[in-house]
Amino acid sequence: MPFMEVANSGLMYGIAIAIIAFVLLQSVIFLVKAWKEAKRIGMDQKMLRQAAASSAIFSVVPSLPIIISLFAMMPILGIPLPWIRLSVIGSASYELVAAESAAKGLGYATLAEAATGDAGAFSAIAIVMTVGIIWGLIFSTFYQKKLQTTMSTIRDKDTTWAVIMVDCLFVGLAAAFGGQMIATGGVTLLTLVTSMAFMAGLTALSKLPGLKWMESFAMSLAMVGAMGMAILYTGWLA
Amino acid sequence: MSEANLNVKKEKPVLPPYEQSLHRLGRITGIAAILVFLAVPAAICLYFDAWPDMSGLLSGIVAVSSVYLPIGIIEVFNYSPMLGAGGSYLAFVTGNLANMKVPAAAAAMKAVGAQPGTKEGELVSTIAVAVSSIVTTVVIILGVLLLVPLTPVIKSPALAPAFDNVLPALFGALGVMLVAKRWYIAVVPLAIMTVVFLFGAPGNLVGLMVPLASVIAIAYARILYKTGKVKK
Repeated sequence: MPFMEVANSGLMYGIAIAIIAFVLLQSVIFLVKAWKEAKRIGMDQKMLRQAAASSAIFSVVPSLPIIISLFAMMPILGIPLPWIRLSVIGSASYELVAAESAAKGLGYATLAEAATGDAGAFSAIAIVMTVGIIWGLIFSTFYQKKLQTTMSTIRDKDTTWAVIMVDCLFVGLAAAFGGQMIATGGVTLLTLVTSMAFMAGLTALSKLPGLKWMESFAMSLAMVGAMGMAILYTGWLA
Repeated sequence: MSEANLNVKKEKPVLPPYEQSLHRLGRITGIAAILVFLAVPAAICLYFDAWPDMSGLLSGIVAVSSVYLPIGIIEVFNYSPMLGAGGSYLAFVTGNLANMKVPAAAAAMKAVGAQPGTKEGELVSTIAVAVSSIVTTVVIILGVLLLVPLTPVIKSPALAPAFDNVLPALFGALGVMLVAKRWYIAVVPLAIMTVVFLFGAPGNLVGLMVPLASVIAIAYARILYKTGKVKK
């Protein structure tokens, strides 16, 4: 059977729907569990709703590049496999690298060439994309309890230091990406700085009377504003 | 040290009921996720009788895993303390940690004033990661359903620079949020990372540099903490 017929077969759509249902169910189970526990320990329900709203509003904009990746992968891998892969572990950049490595391992010059092959090429690509990124999930599943217990021990010993240490992990994330973007320069750096300026401005505005609602939208607004400016910067620097 | 003290030290810490059941749930759903994900290629092979060439397959798996196995393990160490147990169990199933789940959790904790690494922070982070996973999944479903009308927008050359710059737009805003409180710690890892990337490190290694930047931040913060220059 040809590659593309398997890639866009009814079975693949069926599997995609089952995986999406699994991911949604798991998310709902954890959401309900955390919400109930938060209620039990007396956390304010309004605060929890605000946390959920903040996450929902924020998550829309970073989801858009995933759609773009889906569109980029579709002509080569069909619709269901990219749909599955982009809905679970991994990221857009990973999926194409993994698929390309699988194609090369099979002796094809490019992924696009593999897509002209047979069903065996498609199954090999699906296996490599799945297995290649599964390690973090395996490690998290079996090691998470030990890791969190170690964190609790650090917390019990010195709460202040534990809080600073976790803050430092967030700082490390921002510093690594920030450093890479500063070094890249050009439109990347200008967009980064613009987003920082928008975020600082919106945060300051949200502290004014009557503008508290803006706090939840600040990050998304800053991102969209900076992305809009990126179009202008690209035009200017071209 | 007395024998009684030694015995106390040897005892394993007893987790509270919520944490116990959370880890049980995390392991069950984690194992289920591993099996379900592996079932996808297995179903393709069985249903279509499409068995791949083994040597080619192995070389592909080795090539990808040699990079992503260490990254996977490092990510668990790096992101789990930030997300807490519930958020981590979920985030390692749904992926997109650095560019989605961790910022979503950070934004939610900041929005409600919950401290990362505390029980409240852990619960807020779990809620944020769960909601973020649902939103992303729904956005992708909409993308698939609206394939035809969305294509001209998504592929529009005019909008391409905006979509190409989602990450700097995200990390600019996130940076202000994350670093504002600890800017005096951030300057050191940020300066080192900038130099590292200016003098050779390829940009696509940024994921691997996150733990290094975190270790630098922790080491510097420890010095400041020990000398009383950093407070809660």
